[in-house]
Amino acid sequence: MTQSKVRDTDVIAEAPQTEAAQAPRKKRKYKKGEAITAYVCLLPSFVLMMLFITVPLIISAYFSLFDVNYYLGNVFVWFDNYHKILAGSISAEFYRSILVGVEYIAIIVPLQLVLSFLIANLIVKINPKFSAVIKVCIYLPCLISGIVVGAIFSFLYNYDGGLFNSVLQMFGLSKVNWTGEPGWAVFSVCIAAVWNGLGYTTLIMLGGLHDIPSDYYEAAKLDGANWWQQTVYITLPCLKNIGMYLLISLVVSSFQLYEIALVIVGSGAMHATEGPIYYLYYQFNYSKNMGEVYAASLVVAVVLTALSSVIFRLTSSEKSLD
Amino acid sequence: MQRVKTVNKAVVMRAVGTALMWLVGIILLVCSVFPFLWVVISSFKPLAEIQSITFHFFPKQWTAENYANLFAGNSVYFPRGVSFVRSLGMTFLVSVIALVLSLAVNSLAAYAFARLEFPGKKLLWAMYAVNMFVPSIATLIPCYYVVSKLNMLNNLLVLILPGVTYVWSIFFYRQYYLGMPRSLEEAALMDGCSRFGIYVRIFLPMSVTPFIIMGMSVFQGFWNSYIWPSMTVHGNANLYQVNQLIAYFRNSQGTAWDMLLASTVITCIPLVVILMLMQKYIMQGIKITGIK
Repeated sequence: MTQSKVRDTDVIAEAPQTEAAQAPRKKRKYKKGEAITAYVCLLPSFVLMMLFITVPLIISAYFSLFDVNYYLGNVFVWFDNYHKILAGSISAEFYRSILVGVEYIAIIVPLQLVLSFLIANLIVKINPKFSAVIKVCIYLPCLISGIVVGAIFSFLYNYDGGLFNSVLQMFGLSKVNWTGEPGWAVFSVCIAAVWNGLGYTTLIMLGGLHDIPSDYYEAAKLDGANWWQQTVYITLPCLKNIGMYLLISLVVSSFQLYEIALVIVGSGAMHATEGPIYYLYYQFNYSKNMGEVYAASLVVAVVLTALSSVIFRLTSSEKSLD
Repeated sequence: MQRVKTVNKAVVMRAVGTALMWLVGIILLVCSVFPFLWVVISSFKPLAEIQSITFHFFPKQWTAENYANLFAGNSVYFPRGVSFVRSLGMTFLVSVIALVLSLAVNSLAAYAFARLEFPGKKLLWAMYAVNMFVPSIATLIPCYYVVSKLNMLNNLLVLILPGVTYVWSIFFYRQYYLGMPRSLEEAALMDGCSRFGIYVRIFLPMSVTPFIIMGMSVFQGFWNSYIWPSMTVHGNANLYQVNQLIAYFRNSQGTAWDMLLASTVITCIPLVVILMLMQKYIMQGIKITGIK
């Protein structure tokens, strides 16, 4: 992904130079007016980016080394905050939230990838008019916010008179406390999250399926390959790049699941659904030392970047980047 | 005789397969749409019926009182001084302003990177790329520090400005601009049009498609935002965003089901309308991001 971009920029940057090489040498200089226009064009986005991305990043790296106290002033403590989070007084809560994030990843990512793969295969084969309807309908849940998804599902999960429990009772089963019991609560949140994200993954997967040349399948059919063999030897290898993209973005987004869990479960269920963002937001509101919070948010960011780069490495060990 | 039999078998198998696919397709449709439908239907029940233990699919008596109460702010569950209509309007205002700014600011930057030559281009491009890969979680809390120092807390600007520069969209527009033919702008340059004039007269009119594709997700992002507003504007009842309000209806003290359902339905409407109108572009946009 990055490689192709770098190559791209190189081409763009070199293009005028090769033109200039043919023309007399002096033309190679930048035109003053053009450069000024360019800087003016870049100014707003650059200022906003610096102000709200780069500077905050530097600030949090800086303050994470301080004991930030509103009343007593800031005291430089080296890496004490990191130590507290990773091995000290507040590490248990921090690790618990990371573990919840990992649980989300472990449930949501495989479920959503497999489901969207199957659905995409279905949509390819089904009557085109019907498939157009399906596409729009499964994309519908992707539009709405985590808060609204949470609101909808907490209504479905409601203990008394909620849809799921009513259906269970209809079959003579006992009611389930979907949002109160720790085990069920994680599961409930994950189901809502999959419902929310499934349409997007499916449609991207579908785009990948459409890009596979149909001759591959025709050749395979001539050789007598059945559906399963075609899937394993043609479809899956051809979807490798898209699958990797989806895997990384799903891991990143599931790890940061927050709003859905907030509305469905809140602070109930013995903290079973309080992922990293919940932890940070809670600390942001209640921590006495903001330095710890800055340190924690940096650690979470590093974990995220590391996760996605590890996956990137693992899946692109062969030359999957074309 | 044998041959006829196998042919029949194949036909039957295919018919069963098609029927199965339709069945699964219909189940899919139901799963994705039913929760909405259920919430919409339930929002027309009186509160007592929403909370009742016995299950009824359709309301015994249809009533719009939940909506009336929501719009009138007629519930003890409302945060002080907050009105639903105003928060809906404010969310819309924020989303539209942010959308317009985002399109202008990012496409200008993309134009500079795609078409103009200037010293330091490679360096700047690298800086933008680095910022693209910073996870938003890393900047969420320190960003609060920045806006508080800038004295922007509980201010309209704080909802809009931090989200305007969106480096992914700069990449997206740039890619689109790189694919545009140069002949038109060369002709314009000959006629003495300035570089900025070329952006306004040639590039802007030709970016309708990428603007729609990107614009929808930008609008959606602002319309759906929750964490950032709840951190920065919770002290100002006038700026309450719609998602903050919905989250407020279900908090640790309890749940106002009537308000929750009605506000959920109303909040979804603009997004559903956008989906219906812009289907084609959304599908196109998904395809493009997928290839990335």
